[in-house]
Amino acid sequence: MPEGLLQTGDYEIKPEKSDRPVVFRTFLEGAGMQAVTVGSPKGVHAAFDALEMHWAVVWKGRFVDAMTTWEERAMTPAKPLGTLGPALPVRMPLARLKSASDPWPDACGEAAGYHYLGYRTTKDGTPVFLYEVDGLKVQDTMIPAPEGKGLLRKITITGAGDAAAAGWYFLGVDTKAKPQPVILNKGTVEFEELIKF
Amino acid sequence: MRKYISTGLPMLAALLMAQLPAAARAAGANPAYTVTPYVLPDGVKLEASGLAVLPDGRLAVSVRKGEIWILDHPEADPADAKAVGYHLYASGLHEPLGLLSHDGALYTVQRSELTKIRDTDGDGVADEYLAVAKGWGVSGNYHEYAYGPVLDREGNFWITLNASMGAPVKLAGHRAVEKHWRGWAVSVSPDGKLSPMSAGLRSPCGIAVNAENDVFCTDQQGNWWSTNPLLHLRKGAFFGHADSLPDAQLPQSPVADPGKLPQGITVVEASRQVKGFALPAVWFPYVKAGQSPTGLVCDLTGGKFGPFEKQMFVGEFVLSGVNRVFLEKVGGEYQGAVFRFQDGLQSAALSLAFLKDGSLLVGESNRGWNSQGTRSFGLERIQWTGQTPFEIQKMEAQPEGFRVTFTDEVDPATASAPGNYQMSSYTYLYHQKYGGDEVETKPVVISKVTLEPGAKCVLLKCEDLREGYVHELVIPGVRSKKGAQLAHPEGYYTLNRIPGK
Repeated sequence: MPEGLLQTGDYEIKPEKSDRPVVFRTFLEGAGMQAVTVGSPKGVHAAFDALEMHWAVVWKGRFVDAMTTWEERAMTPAKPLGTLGPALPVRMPLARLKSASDPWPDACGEAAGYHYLGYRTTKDGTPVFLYEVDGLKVQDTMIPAPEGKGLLRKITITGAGDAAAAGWYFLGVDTKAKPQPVILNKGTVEFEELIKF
Repeated sequence: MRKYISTGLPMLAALLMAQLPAAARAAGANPAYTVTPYVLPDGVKLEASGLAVLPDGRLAVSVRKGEIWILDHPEADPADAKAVGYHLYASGLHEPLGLLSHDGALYTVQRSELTKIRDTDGDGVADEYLAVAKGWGVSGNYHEYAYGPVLDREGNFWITLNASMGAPVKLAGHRAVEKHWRGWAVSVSPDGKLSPMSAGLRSPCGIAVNAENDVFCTDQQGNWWSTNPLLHLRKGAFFGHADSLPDAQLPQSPVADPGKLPQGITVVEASRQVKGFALPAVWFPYVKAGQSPTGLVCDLTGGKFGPFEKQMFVGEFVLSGVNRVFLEKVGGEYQGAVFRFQDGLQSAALSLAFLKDGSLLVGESNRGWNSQGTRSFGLERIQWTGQTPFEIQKMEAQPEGFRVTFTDEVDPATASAPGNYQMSSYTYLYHQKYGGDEVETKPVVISKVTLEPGAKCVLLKCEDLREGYVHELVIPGVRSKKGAQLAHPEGYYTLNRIPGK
């Protein structure tokens, strides 16, 4: 059959068949209309909301079916196909507080002063998301955790001034996470958190 | 294909025979041009939404499912995939519909952002996807396509944004409620500032600049558009589709809110009544000159593509072809004529680009809509044979008629006979209703035909020219000096202004 004459019908994206992470942008349940999904060959996946600039969904097992995105006229949002990991709170990773016990602000995305810059991929194809807030530049990525324990989130913050003195805190995605001051060492600091599932 | 079916061959065999990629062939009515499909490597589904020729002559092709492919030698034999050389360069994009090579990077417009893509480590694969600008609304409605970019003469990017269709989609995780600038053309400065420019677009799925670096887009017949237009995009213009107007009240809008819109009057009358209303540079009479114009490109090949230098070529989706537009400025504004150029492509034309050798590439994808070319996607190359085609080269407005220039010397007898020239004029209604017929059609009397020295131009003196109306010229009886018939004996001139009036 000549190529392009008939549709073959299987549009499920299968990162396990790849040796590199797969990036797929789509409307996605739980992550909105500007989701950038990252599927790992190791079977643990994450979606970054490029509108609000935070991680939105993590899951494992099957990744995403692209059929509705690519072929359906109505473009019904895709959904994570596998087993969902812990629900991630809807909030930004950095905020300015008077003290660590202050409530974390509700505002997200540009309303919180954030600006999306895109992403770069590492040598192995993992996207590192780039955004900034008030002069602080952020690199934010998720990779499979060792021993199949979920995802390891790495976030690097770079700035010129004294971020801690300006009241900047980092708050991880774990529901039990506590704000930690952003203490820059030679202009940078990295936080790591394990998202177990 | 009909022939095979009638001889009783099974349907599948008939389809197979009809679909086999042929070698270079003369397609449609123009023997001076050949069409050659690229035979793609196995598994490469080149649903070509955007084409960009790189400074070194390689070709970048965006694919609507989110990839960018590089073709190392696009001028090699299209039947030889190895010689052409296909490489996946970028992936994971959200429906990119357009491609621009600029400043050592590729730029594309995804659903929600203008993206600059680079390969920073030189391994042949993109590793940087930077958001140059975003900020237009994406509510999840399928119709919210975004196209471009192209560069204007000041170095700003231009992007066209479809009108949305229907209410925002409800989706867990999506909290944005605003969907600004749908149905607008926007520009983006080199440092990323987004500025809304023109309103009133419906589905402006082709955008390009002409030789003067003015920006044009095509739009699609439907609500508020009786037929398809070619629009000259500029700051402050309102082109007619009403869904974009609530945003005209925003402080960033350069378009004045025209208030309540009249309906059921002609577009000519609407252009007089509605504040800021800009008429199309060219109307494409429905089906006669395309049914669904898409990507467009200006012929800057310096004559390598035949006698149509600086004219615009316009992709055609449903009828699977390419049309041709001549533009001129009258009273400071663009207007001009459309002519058919090429039919019989294998799939829906979506994107056009000229290779350095002067051949015209057509990127194709029908995305499940109907198209006369039955393949779902592909890439074809249209080449000029070097023979002079016999066509209407251009049609220019004159104070008392038109000056029609042919690509070759005409036969003085047939070209001088007024009886060989038929003309009528008509316009369209301005209304929310989907599509519309030609209205107020009247014959135009051609009272005198003067053949100019050199035998390539005729001056037509016309009675009853009507400003704002399409003037349709039909001249099948005119022959070339060598006795050839016109490949396309019709021209459709949108006479927004009569010169000197």
